[in-house]
Amino acid sequence: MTVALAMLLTLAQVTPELRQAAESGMKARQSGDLATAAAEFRKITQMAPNLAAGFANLGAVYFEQKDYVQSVPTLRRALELNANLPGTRTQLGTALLATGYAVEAIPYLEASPELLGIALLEGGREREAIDRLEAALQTKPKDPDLLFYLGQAHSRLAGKVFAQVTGVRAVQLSAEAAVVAGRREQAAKAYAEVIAKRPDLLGMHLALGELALESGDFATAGKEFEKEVKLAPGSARAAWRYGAVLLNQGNNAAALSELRRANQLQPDMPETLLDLGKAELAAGSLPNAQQAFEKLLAIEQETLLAENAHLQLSNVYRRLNRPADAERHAKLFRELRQRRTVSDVKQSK
Amino acid sequence: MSVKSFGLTLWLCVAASPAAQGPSLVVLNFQHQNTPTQQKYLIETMGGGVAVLDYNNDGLLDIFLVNSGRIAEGSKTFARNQPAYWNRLYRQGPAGTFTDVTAAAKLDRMPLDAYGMGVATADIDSDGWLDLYLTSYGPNVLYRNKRDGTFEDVTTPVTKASGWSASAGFFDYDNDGDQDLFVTRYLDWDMSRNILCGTPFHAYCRPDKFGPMSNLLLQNDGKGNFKDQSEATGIAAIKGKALGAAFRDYDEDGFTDIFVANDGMEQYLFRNQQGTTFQEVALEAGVAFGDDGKPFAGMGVAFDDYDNDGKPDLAVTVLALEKYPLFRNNGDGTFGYASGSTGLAALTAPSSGWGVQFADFDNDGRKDLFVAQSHVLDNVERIHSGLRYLEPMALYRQTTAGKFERNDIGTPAAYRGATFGDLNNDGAMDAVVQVLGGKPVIVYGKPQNRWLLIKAPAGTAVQAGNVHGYATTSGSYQSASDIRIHLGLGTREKVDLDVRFPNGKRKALTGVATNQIIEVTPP
Repeated sequence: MTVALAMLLTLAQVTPELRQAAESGMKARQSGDLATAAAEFRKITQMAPNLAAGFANLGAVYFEQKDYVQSVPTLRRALELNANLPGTRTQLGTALLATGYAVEAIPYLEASPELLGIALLEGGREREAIDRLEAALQTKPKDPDLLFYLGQAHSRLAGKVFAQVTGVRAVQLSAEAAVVAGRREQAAKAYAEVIAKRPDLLGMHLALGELALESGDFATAGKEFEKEVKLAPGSARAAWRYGAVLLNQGNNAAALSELRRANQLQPDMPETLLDLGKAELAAGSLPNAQQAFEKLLAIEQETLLAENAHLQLSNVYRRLNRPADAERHAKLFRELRQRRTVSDVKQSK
Repeated sequence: MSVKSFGLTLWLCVAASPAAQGPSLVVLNFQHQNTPTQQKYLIETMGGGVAVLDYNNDGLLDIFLVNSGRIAEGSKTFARNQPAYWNRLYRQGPAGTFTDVTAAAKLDRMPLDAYGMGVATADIDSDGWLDLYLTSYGPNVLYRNKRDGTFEDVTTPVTKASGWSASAGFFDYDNDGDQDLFVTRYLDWDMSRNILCGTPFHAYCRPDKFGPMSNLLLQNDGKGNFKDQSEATGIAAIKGKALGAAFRDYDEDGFTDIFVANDGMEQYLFRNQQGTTFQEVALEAGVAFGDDGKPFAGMGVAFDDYDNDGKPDLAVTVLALEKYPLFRNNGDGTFGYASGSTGLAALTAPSSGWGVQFADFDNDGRKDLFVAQSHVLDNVERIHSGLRYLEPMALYRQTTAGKFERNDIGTPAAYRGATFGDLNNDGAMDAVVQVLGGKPVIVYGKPQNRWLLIKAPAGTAVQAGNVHGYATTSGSYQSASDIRIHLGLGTREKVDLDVRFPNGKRKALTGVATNQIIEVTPP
């Protein structure tokens, strides 16, 4: 961007010295010789101290040189002389942001939702930052930098709320934060601390069990889920989790009983239906298995659970000697899987 | 741990397990060389096969260990001419000692551009002596046993193959009485196309970063000459990312089928169509995916009857959190996922496995599952704090019909290939397990209960009551096991044997005394 200098050169009253400096500065800048460009534009600001374009171009060159300290007053002077330079405003806002003046940068960044979002975030206005960053994501979906700042905004906002939480709930929050950060041992210790202080608090054994499952520790998971089931007999999620662990541990009869109970507590929970079907299959009850998988598919058609249900149904129908139905579900499984695989590949690109 | 001297450098130490209840371990003085680099070349973490075979027909099993090689930046060769990078053959003596006979057996050279992976064994020319086939990233090598304690390189352009071969195994696909060769090829990868994966630190790339390869099926003419029938049989048409393979007639149609363990994608079950072509039927048979409907990282495979119903079942070793899939043969051409109902799912969830075999390690009449374990990523702890790179071996012991319990064996290490056989002919099943970049371990089983060891032609099936055995060297991961059939028979002092030979003929032996080694030959 060479602000208005080209237009300037068309004016008759421009002195030969000014014209010479402007042409040399523009040429040097185009060729990447920023030091010469800065020197030429600096001459213009000295020869024409009320010419906004001179300061705007000199500030822009400083900006390109990442010399934000010099660019800020220069760009600011340009805007004092001419407030109608949108590119210069954004440049000044960015330079201010880069030098740590996020709050001061905010008024200059209205043209860039992305930069404004970051400035708002750095300025401690997380809720507004989230709005702006989400707006920016509309035009740049899955942009990793935008997603990073959005995540940071949510995280800082949550941190502000969490800072007000005290006592055992604070420990619970630290456990959940540790889970998100992948610090499993720290999370497990924090949950154990919560349980020690508030053994009646629901969901803690469930969380500990799920944590154990993430490392494949079914023995610990089973113990924790069993405790949660005793503490919260009405929790369908706890019953499902416990039943699923029993199913993996070879305790088929107990698994079937618990999964049936989970299904009674919440009959429309796809996770339960999938594992209930598998438990029925393990018990040799093909019609019951078929019923559970079909019910799942009546609830969900496109998810990973639905994909698995099609595969399971394909196996069930093959065993029931219904090859056409088996092939139909195998085909649906393949189609869903193919669609998801293509989507995964696109996402990874 | 006690140190036992055998007067030979091969023995490093003997570790007795607590109260001598379990197996005893011997660490061999062989050093597997894989040369881990900063570039994280995939081949570094995938090798080492091992075989037990009686190469000199003295009745004692010997040990062959595959070495990998030295990786040097900018070099396309792996220093296989240097002794540190040789494969090694150890001959077992009468006292149970092992002597390095590599050079004497003329097995001290490999092509310089062969980074070693696996080994397969068979008597390819029906002369009564076991031959060797070695797989590599690079050229494979076929060694014919010269019956005088030496081997000769008889590799041809067909057996040399190309690309990256992993496991190989012999079986008779066309029922003509000789041993054909199946070779798995892993990925369309080479060192010049290596990429760096993982941020902020590098890890070995996932297989989905590279394209699939076709496997090879080489037909034996009975004299040990092989013809590539991959195209003609349809095997070449279906590409995968194959690491392991095992062979059994799962549908009892009289023709041996092929299971291929693919990494990070669906598994393949090639159904043999009357010895001419193969049809891939894994999805229809229920063995293509895990119980969660997702593909898994298939590495090693055991294809044998674990539940004494006479039908071969499948166990596949996979990565941690995928739970080793156990597929029970339903007897109708389909398999049912049995990892949950046997308890194996929960027991194996935190572990990653490679070499694997069903074998009756306590001779109680129920086959157990032995697995050589370790994650594939040497920095997996940085990626998932709940997982471990180094793991102990595990014996998943079948306690009551259809249930398993886990017994960890040995110190945590990067175990890879595993081979099985009764090394000391005491009736207890033993294992030899390769350690990536380390020293291999012999796991000596503890003699207990009664047993039979049966020498029979490859492909022979034996039934003693409800206990079934099958003569094969194939399966596991990049490894080859003893051809002899081992039967654990509980307290039975005599058994009746129903022997079915691969040529279709049967032999009934009645009142066979147990606790002995016998040989059965076709009538």
